[in-house]
Amino acid sequence: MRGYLLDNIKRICQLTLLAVGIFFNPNIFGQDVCTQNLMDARESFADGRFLEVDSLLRNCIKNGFTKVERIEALKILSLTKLYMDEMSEADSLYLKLLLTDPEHQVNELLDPPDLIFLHNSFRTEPIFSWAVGAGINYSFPTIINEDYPFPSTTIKYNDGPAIPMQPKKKYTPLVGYSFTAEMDFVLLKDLYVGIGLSFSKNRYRYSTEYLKSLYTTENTDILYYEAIYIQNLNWFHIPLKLTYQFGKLKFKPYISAGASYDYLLISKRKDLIREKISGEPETKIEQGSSNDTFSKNRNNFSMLFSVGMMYKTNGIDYIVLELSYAQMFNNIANSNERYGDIDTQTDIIFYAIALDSFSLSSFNITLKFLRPFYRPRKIDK
Amino acid sequence: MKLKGFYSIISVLIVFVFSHCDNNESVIPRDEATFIHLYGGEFQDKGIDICALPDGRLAILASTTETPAVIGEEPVRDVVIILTDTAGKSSELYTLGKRTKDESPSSMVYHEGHLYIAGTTDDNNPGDKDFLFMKFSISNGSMTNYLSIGYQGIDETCYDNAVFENVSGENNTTISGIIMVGESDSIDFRSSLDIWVTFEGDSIGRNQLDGVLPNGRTKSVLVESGSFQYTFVAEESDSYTPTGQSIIIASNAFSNGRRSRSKKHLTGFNGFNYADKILSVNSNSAYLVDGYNSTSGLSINSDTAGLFKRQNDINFTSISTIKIDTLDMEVKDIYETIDNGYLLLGTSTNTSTNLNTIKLVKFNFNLNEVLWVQNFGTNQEFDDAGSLIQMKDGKIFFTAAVSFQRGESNTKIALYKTTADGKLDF
Repeated sequence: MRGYLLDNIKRICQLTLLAVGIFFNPNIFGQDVCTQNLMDARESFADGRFLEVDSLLRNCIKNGFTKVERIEALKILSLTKLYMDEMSEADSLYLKLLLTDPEHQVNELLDPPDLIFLHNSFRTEPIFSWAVGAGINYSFPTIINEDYPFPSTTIKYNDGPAIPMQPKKKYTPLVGYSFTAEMDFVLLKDLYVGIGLSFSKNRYRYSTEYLKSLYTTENTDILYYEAIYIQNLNWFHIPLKLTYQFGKLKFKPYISAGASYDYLLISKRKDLIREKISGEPETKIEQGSSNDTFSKNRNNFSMLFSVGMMYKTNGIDYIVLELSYAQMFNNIANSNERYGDIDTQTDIIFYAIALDSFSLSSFNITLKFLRPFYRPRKIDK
Repeated sequence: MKLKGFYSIISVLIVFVFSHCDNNESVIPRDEATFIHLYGGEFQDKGIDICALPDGRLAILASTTETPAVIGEEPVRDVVIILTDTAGKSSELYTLGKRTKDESPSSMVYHEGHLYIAGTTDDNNPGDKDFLFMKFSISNGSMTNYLSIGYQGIDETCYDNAVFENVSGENNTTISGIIMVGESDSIDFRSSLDIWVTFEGDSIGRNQLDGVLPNGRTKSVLVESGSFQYTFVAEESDSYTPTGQSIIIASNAFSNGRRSRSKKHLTGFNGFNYADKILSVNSNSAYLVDGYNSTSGLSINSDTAGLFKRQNDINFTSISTIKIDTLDMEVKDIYETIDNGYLLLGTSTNTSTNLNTIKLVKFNFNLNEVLWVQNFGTNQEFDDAGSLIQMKDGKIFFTAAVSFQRGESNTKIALYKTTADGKLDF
């Protein structure tokens, strides 16, 4: 009894859903008619009965086809008009086709030459595209001029041996991240010029070791201090670049090159001093952090190189994976302000900070969502 | 048309970018840069004196300790000599001294390939302080002579030294060497003392200076070129419980290997005056600078810089004095600049925090005007100024002790190179 009741409820629900569907999509029956009309139009076109083609498809094109059917219908109708020497009508219909399917392609082998000619008489490239993305970067300083908080020194204790001490200064790249938004405009076929806005956080690590005691040559255990700082640089970029895309495949590779204006939003540093003695665990002595933006030049320029792969999704959008390299041109260290006030000097001495002149290089991997915008129109001859 | 516009945009972009890029000319080479260089290890390493060598290198006199400072105990110090290369990129560091003995250097002079170091040795027993004489060969990088000079049972502390040449000695001989000045601290009084040693470390002469007993100490000495005379500054107190202390500027001369005092002048402001450095400008005048305390107390926190200028007056009757009220610092060194100003290097103590700042000051004596003040160091309790020198290109080098950890007595030897206006930048 209970199962019977449930079956009835299920049936009522199904009927209700069907009724709702019909109410909101009254063309559901009309679509079947148009589908039949499309099949008939194919036959009429093949038999050369062009006048029938128009009457079969004209109304359904307005509102009765699925998108795929509408594309085929417009294509058949455009060809029909071509064969009937109604060129203006053919252009109008093919334009509707391209508005429906902006990336519509003709098949050079299968499609009639007249249609191919008609297709080529239209601008079928996107006029611009926008993209947003996020990624990670790997940054490392390029040293222009070195500073030596602890100069290379030969230490000699009375008549003992001379012990050479070289500064063990080391920069290590660290992973940062970036966000980007950009627009690309068509210049020529497959060639685009793009402008964007992006934010990046670039990071690197500096470390140096120095002798703890002048009496090291007399000691059996070598003692060192290790000074470390992590530099975080937050940049705002305005890149301008040229991009060349290869082919029309679902996977579309591209290369690009350009330049970028870079503005340093903020520079922060985390410092650490560790005591190192052979055979013993390292001991943390002092730790600090500071905003050292004043010691950097905020305006910079970069050159950019990138390669990428665009993957077309089911619609007209793309998922883009890009690998790029950026090299800043200018010295980031602010030569006039790098020592700052006495607090900055204290940090420099406490943490053995090198005040090298440097620029920044970075590798970036970015994942983007890209949407092209088309505006097909007849090309003026 | 479209291509033309595109190429124009790209051209403008490229020109714009490259016009804003650094090139080799705009990145100034390292040897033009200013810097802070650090030397030494843990505990108390201090930069004390600095001089330029004829080949363009710098020599720095410093001291180091092997053990941490203990309140009430003198650390065991060794002498450190640092020789930099001309660009300051590398250096040779020599630690000199006897392990069980405290060698406390005070000043250094260069003469014909050698550095002559004056200081004080101490066995940490009463009466064991002696003058220290060291001769260091720059070419060999080694100490070639070491002397402890003093009266048995009396402490002698050395503050300064100077080179003299071709002075007539006894029995018609000619002697050359260094004069060291300081104080002799006998059982119940102090007296000033000068000692001279020939370059080879023999022919030692010693004299107590007349007229500065019982409470005097000689702080700086200057041998004026081409003369047998030497001029010195000293401090003199009026009694055992002094309410004031004057500065003495005096001149002595060698005669037949012996020193005889010739001229003396007392100067200073009310309160305690501390002599520090006498500076030769030419053979006719000398300058003295020091901090002084205008109160009757002995607080070191109320130092004010003062300048004393001896005019061209052989009788020492004309001395100009200037009190630089705006400079609350103990002046450690003075240098006449290439543009007739004076550079003062000193240590300023914040009376509320007891923290020190190293100050470099440019002062115009004629205008009685402080032209600029630059602060250095790590703003810690043990920061202390050393000595300065200005090169012909205007760059200023000075050495100091800078604290390396907050609240600790650990200091390192610092060598600063600044621009002519005392700035740390390119």
